[in-house]
Amino acid sequence: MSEEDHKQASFDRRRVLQLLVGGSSLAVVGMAGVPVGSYLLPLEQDEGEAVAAFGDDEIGLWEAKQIIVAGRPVLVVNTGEGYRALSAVCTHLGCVVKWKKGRRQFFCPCHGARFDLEGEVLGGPAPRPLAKLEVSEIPGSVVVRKV
Amino acid sequence: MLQWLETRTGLAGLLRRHGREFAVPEESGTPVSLGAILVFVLLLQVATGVLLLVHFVPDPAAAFESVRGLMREVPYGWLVRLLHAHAANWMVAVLFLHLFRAAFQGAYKQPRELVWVSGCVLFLLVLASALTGYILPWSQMSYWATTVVTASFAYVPFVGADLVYWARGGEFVGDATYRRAFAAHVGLLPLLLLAVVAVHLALVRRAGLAPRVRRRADTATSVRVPFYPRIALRQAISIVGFSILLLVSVFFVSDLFFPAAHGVPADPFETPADVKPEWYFLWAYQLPRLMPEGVALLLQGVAIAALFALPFIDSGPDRHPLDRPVITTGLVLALASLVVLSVLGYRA
Repeated sequence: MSEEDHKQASFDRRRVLQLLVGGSSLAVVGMAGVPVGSYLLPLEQDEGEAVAAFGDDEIGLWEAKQIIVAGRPVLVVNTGEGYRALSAVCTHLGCVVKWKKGRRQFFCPCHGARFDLEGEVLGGPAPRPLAKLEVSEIPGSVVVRKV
Repeated sequence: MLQWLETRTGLAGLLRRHGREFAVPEESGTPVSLGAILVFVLLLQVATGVLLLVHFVPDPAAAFESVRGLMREVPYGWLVRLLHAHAANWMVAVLFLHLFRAAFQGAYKQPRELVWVSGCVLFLLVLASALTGYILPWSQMSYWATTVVTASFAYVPFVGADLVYWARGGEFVGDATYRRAFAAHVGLLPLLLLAVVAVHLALVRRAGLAPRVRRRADTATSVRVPFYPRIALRQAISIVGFSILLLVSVFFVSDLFFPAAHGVPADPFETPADVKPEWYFLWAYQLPRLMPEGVALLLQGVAIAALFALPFIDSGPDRHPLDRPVITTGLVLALASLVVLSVLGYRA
């Protein structure tokens, strides 16, 4: 084998070794990525009861009451002809909306989104209506259920 | 003894190479060395942060009370906590000044492009540290700022909803979110910050400090002097001046950076009427009031991308602001927008 051939073979061996070391390093990083990525995934959370009830004398006319359904705040309004239950979580950035009795609107304190009694957007940056919940009345009680 | 140490560590040689033998422009560090102040504040944050960990309880159920106890019962706990909180705010302010000064003076020009890019990475890391830091006391401010910021990720195209879920550690802000913020604030982010600061300083050392800005027609060159002692002394004076400012804010206007919502424990079912983010996020808080959230997020993305790309957009040799009117106008408009949006956000 000439000196030139020897240099070429040595170069090839070095190249193969470099590829092996580089490839196996990448494989190790990739393999570590799977458990690390899985470890960082959120765990299942218990939402809590998807139904809540309260006495039908607890909310005055056009007043609102905040209750917790499935771990999230819900506003129930007494319209005199029945109850409306809407998620109090603003569809814009998740702040809790307040009921403005005088205007009969829901108002978000963060960016000023406004919603009507049906949860439809009246103004502000909210992209979607407030989520509705199912309301049923049984003698003496109002029951609100997540749909 | 010193010779014995020197043989084994080479410390004296190292100090000589980076002190007396490091030639820098004579005017460096005038009128104030913002970079030196930032390194000092970072070290102060690490020191006060470690001290806080001794008494702070990183659990949503106990964090607020432990901060209260730290302020009222732990000897000098109030001082450590106020130093940490005030220094964090001043750090962001000094960082803004450092960034805009470098931008206006074209300090990112060849061969300092990567100094600028690493500085931009540091800027984002400091903002992330600030954000994860004010989650930790678990006050109303902490809870709702976290809710709003993480909810805004939903507007990222395609992966938005997954991103929100992952950042919160679940569907809603809660214990899992808190633990993620804590891990980031005391583990990941300080490590990254210290590492990127080391890279930033190594790049500065390699490329050298940018000389004084001169007009195109001015062909004079800066006199170069050893870093030590003149420039080092100037940096020390800057740090002392900053420390006085920090102590004045801690002792005489201690609630400067604490809005009312900081003093109330987190309530996931009640958004306070006067909820506002920290002053350096007010501009981002105001944007969605003026335009759809998707557009606001896109605008922020474009602004950050433009910030990183500045050395490659403005790659000509001129550094004086008057010799590059387009970039200077852009920077003035960006700065004015930040100020106006922040004022509007504050008054909203």
